[in-house]
Order: sequence, then C-alpha cells, then structure tokens
Amino acid sequence: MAKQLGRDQQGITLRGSAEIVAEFFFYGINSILYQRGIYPPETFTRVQKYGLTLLITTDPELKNYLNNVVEQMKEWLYKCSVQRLVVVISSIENNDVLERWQFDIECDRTAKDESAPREKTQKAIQDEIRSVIRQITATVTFLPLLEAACAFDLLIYTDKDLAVPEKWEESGPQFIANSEEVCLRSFTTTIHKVNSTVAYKKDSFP
Amino acid sequence: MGLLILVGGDVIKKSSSVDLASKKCQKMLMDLEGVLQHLEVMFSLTLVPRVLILLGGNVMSPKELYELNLEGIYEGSTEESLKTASCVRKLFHSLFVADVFSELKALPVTDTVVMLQGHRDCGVDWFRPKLNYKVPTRGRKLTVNLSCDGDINLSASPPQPATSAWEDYVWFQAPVTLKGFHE
Repeated sequence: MAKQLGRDQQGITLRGSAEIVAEFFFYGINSILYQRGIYPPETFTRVQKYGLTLLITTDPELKNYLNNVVEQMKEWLYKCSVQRLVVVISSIENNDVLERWQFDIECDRTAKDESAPREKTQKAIQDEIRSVIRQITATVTFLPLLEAACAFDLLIYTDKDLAVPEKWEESGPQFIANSEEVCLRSFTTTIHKVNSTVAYKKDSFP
Repeated sequence: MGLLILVGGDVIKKSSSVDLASKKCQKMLMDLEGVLQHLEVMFSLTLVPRVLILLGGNVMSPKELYELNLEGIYEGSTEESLKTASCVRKLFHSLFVADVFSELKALPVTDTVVMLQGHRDCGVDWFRPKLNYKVPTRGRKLTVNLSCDGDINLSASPPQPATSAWEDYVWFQAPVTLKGFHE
C-alpha cells in the first residue's frame, strides 16, 4: 500500500535546508533589529512564525534590503559556500561597535551528492529555531542598554573564490574591543547547522 | 479581525477575540503590578528568605515551581547597596546562560500564584498567611539561589538570623491569581 508522507514528515533536501536557514536569518535579523531598538517599534508588524508572534519590519527600504540579503544567502547556503553571518550594531555618533551577533554556519557538503532527502521533520527544526528566536528576545534582559542611536551592518563570510555581488564590499570583522560573549542555542537541519553567539562591551556590564 | 452577525437586518458587531485577549492581558498586567508593589511593601516589613512562583495546577501541586532562595542576601546600609540594575542584569544573565527554559514544553493557558516567606509578626495585611503550607516536592522545580558574593565587610552587616530563627518565618500567599491568556 503506497504511503504518502505528510508535509511535515517530508525529508530535508539541500534546497529545502537552504530555504529554512535563509528564512531563519530573515526572522532572526528582524527580531534583533526590533528587540535592540535599532528601528522604531512602530515600524514593525506582527506575524506568526515558528509558533511564535514575531515582529518584522514594514520599512520598505529595510524590507527590500533584507529580502535581497536573504535571497543571496539562500543561493550561497545551497552551494555550501557561506560560513558565517554577523549582525554588527554600532553607534551612529562615533561608529563604536557595541554589539555583534554572530551566526556560524556548518554545511555538510555530502548532501550535494545525495538524491534522497534526510530524515528530520520540519517540526523538529522549527522547535529548535523557536528556541533560538526566544533566546534572542530573552537577551534583552541582560544586554547593556543601547542608549545612543545605532545602525547595523551585515557581514557575511564566504569562500574566498566567490564573486562579490554588486553593491556589496569587502569588510573587516568589526570586533568589539573588550567584549563579553554569550552563546545561544544552535539548530540543525542535518545539512546546515547554525551556532549563534552575541558579544557586547564588557565594561557596560559590571 | 471582528466578527459580524446579521440578525434580522441589523448588523451586530461582537467583540473580537483580539480585544478580549487585550483585555485579559491588561488585567493580568494590572494584577502583576499590584503583586509587585505589595512584594516591595513586604520586603520593607520583613526579611524574605524565599519566594515561590507557582505555575498551573494548584499551590499544593503546581505544574512548574520556581523558587527564589534569598537566604544568602546580606542586608547593609544604603551606601553599601549593590545597584539594582546590575543585580537584575546579573540575575538574568545567569538564567540565560543556564538555559533552563528551552527544554520546557509549552503550557496551556496557565494561572500563576506567588507565595513568599516572612516573619509571622511582620504585620503584613495584603498577603495571606498559610501556616500549614509545605513546598511541593512533585512537578518541575527550579531553585534560583541569590547571594551577595565577593568582598563583604562583615562588621558593616547586621547579623543574619540563625537557622533556627527561620522557624518564626511562615508562608504567605498573594490573594490575587495572575490569569494567563492566549494572544
């Protein structure tokens, strides 16, 4: 008797994994920008995702920017040629780097040669992603208050031989001097694994 | 999104589920604000060695129990006092790093009760004494131990009650139950 897998039970392909991880970055970056007050709260709208109420930007420019980044990430994740995404938050006044959200990506390149999807349910992956998003929200309870107006940059670490897309430029790591670091939970699709950390100025947290 | 009902040519707009959730949220926040204010009064009346936050079930058998152990807190003068903001941030940093909540299964809409220990003669009138109350042993329990660490000038600190003196401390329960709600 033929057995049809429900959508939730379908395995994970490399393409599917790239989409899941890229989507996480979309919602994760939006969460950071909202929680850290980088953009006014009234410019965000509520959506349901991962069983949570999340906030995403309605600012057209920012939306466009993030959508472009996510589409590019999807392509690089599929090719297994991206290792890290970093959200750098700096003071607009003096360009001091105040916070650094780092997402390290491990890619199992053997998935490129596989035809059969890997066995991990969407629900299991969503549960793991939910924990990470919740932790992003929870960091507000102890991260130093960002009192000055801040801006953000996205740094993406890729393979050396990758062509730099138009409007992107090479950059330094933009580390924080004298920082404290906290690890968040990680999640994995079995093809891509994402480890998250946040670094902040040490002397702001006595 | 509102719900419209057409009744005999008239259109009656019922309260939307969003409005209801918002009202419940506001009520809960008001009740929580009240509990916190009364907690502050309690702290001014007596030493509070322990606070319990009980989620779900009932006070004898909650689904989850969070215990704050404050026995290690030293009382000192205003000049020696640690800054509130840094203590709160330190507490939440420790809770975050311990990652105690991620594995928990989501609870259904749940009520929360707050209980705390205080001196039997502290004169509090809002919290209700529960003389026979015993801390539940079943269900999920997390104890957070708070203490004043580092260099402590013992001569500046008044002596803490000896262990036997905690016998004069009884459990009190907040008369308000914080009602959970769906978004």
